[in-house]
Amino acid sequence: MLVVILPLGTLLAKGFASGWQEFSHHAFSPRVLSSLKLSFSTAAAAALFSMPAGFAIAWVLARYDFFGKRLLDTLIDLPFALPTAVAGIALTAICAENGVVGSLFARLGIRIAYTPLGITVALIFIGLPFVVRSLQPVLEDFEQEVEEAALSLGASRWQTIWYVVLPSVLPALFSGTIMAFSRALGEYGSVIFIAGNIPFKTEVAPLIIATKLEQHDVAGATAVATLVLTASFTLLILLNYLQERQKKG
Amino acid sequence: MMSNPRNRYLQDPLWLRLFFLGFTIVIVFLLFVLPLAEIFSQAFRKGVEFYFEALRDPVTLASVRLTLLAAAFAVPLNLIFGIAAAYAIAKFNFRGKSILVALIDLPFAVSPVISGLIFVLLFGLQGLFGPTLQSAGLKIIFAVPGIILATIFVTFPFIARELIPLMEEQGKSEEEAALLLGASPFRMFWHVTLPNIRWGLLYGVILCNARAMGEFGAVSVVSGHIRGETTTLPLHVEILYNEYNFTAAFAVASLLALLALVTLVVKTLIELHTHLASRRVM
Amino acid sequence: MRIELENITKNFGNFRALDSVSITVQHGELLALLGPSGCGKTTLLRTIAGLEFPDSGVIRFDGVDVRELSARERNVGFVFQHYALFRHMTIFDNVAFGLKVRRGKERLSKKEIRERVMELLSLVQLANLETRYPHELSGGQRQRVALARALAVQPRVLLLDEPFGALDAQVRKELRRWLRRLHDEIHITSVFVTHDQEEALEVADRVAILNKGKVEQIGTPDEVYRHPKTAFVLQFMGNVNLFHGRLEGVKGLGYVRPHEIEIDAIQKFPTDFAATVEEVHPLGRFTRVTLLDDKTGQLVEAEISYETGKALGLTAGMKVYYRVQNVQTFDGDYVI
Repeated sequence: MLVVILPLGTLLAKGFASGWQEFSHHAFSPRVLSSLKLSFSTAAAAALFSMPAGFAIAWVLARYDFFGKRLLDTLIDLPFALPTAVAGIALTAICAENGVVGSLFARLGIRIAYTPLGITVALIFIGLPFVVRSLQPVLEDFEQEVEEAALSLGASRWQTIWYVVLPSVLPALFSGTIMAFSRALGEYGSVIFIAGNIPFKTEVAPLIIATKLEQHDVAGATAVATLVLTASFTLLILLNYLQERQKKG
Repeated sequence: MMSNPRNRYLQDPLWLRLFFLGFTIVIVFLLFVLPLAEIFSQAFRKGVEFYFEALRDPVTLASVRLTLLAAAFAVPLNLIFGIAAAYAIAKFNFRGKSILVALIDLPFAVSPVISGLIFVLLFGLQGLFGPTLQSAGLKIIFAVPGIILATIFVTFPFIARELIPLMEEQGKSEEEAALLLGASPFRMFWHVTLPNIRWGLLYGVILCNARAMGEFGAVSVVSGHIRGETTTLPLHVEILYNEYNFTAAFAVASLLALLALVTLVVKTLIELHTHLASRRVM
Repeated sequence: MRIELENITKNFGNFRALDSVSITVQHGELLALLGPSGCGKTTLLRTIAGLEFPDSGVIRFDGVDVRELSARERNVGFVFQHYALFRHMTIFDNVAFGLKVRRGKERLSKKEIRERVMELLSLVQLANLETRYPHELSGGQRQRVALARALAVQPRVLLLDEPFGALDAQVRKELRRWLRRLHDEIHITSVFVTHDQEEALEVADRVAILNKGKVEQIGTPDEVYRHPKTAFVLQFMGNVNLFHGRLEGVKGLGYVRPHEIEIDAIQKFPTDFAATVEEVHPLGRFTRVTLLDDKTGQLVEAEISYETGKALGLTAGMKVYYRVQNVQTFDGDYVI
């Protein structure tokens, strides 16, 4: 217990130790605000992509049988097992202008590495498995009888998926997406390499915290951390609420 | 169902199946397969010799040792804690139980950088215990103990989380039966509780270990990046990369990628094993 | 509507679920498919619905071959054992589902849908629960919602898979009487699956008894109970005693139901058997007596009226005589 409570208490106490004035001076400087904006928008973009993409992948893993399915299923967990720094440099190498994917997009005039797009790619890498893994068991457990009932009542396959299956798995889809979003907000290792870390452009909030700490600006780091933490906790509470609902339904 | 072609009405139309399947394969290839391949191809770009030279570098070896050390602390400690916490949560009712459950998950919800910051706030020079530690001549932040503490913190939830649902599902009737039959609490734990959770335990341990060896954000903040002294493998990768020593960075990264692959294989084997076991029960 | 099933065969891998089954369900009839678990009754029901497709055989609805039609196109109402309600929809939306997914000119207006749904909900006596969700209802209520939902699309056939299987005994009895009355009211051709012979006898117009994928007998409840064609049917329809070639005029096996055995304190006929009372269980209206035949050592089960049992003063260990009032025999021995 001590390991968890003490540090968090200290964080909040420290954050406001020198008063609101000091806090807002650190927390709402233009550079911090722009990094928060970037963190939220890229995390949201990654979550918005991961939601339908995670649904499609979970659907494939739960419903279809094909050669190599087991391998595919295992690979989905890669982001859980691969150290974030390693993922970060690998994604950067691929997405850089001379990289495998980056060179293709460069021809279209789209840069991935060192832009918000690159950050989003890294955050999708980190977040997608959360969506897939929270949805997959729910889809697997979905009773076949219910789909048969819809069929016998005259619904097309599409109507069955859209009106019957999807609404039933929506809480799981949302909680997976929130998990992905929450994780993306605080993500550091996989992002800092591909981001390029240009102030006001591709500098994410966790990087600001780390940078401030490197400059021994503990108060500043704490102020920013308090903001990020508040957002994470709000999401956590939302998540708990959704999971309770899921259990009841 | 798939094997019976006449049962076609319960299946998705072909275009939908091809679309979903194609999409999945493309995403998994681009996002997961390609980066993995990239790590190894970059690592061997300058040949096998260079690869092994990069790994034999004394600083690299020092970071391997530090990484192993951190994991050697984090995994056993969290193992003991995880079993104790899961046991308490699954088998007993007490006040503040739901708070404990929420707290266990906390390190998952907190950004790794913030986890590191917390330790700076506690043990740093300007921190809560900073002055006390300094007068005692102990250094935690920007030193090995800080790295170990941060690693323990971020890997805290893995084992407990794996065990809680498992133990809840099993209930306590078996344990009660063992006690009624005259087994001592220790024997009961060793012969009844432990065998029931061993697969979940192993699962938690390998996930905990993977994260312990791979943690970057939290460790980065408390490390101080002193080459060969307070750099774990992931930090060493970062330093090499920032020095534009890409091939060496990827060579070291390939070690961690191998660790990830082994982790995934063991995890899959456990899943296959327990899945078969549960099918047999049914 | 009249349903004809002709030589329906269906395999699951090596397992033959249906073995050349032929049944005709008459227009407006309520037919029970009765049999032990694994006999193929549910597979047969699902085959009629278009949820399974037979390996061979013909299915005709009013003379029209429907083999190539999916469940969606057959216009059947199917009630599932575990209700299969849409849990995220209200009761109203559950019942309205089949009407709402219609497209084109068949589509009803919102007002028409509302009228139809409310009419059905009052038919199944759930008129005031339309805004509830399935998890807020009892098992019996859920089953009635499932029935209303199936009826909403005005199906040509109503198919019910163990409709009362998941309910407790009391609700079960009420609901099956209610189903019988409902059928008398709306007269839709219906087939229901059950493993409970009492339920089949009470509710159905005719009963088809299945065993190992084959039809053993089809007939009215009275026919299958009083004149079973096979030993399997006889035994499935209730307890029975077996006599090996000991009864007068009977070669081989003779089957005697417990209530067709009479017990007396004295020997009235030379054919009476001597026996010792093993156990006496008064079960309300009748008393179940287990006898040990003195000569053969065989256990014989008898059911006599409570009054007779009392008058005889039956206790364990008492010496009595018993006689057989009715014997069933079949050509060839049937081993289960």
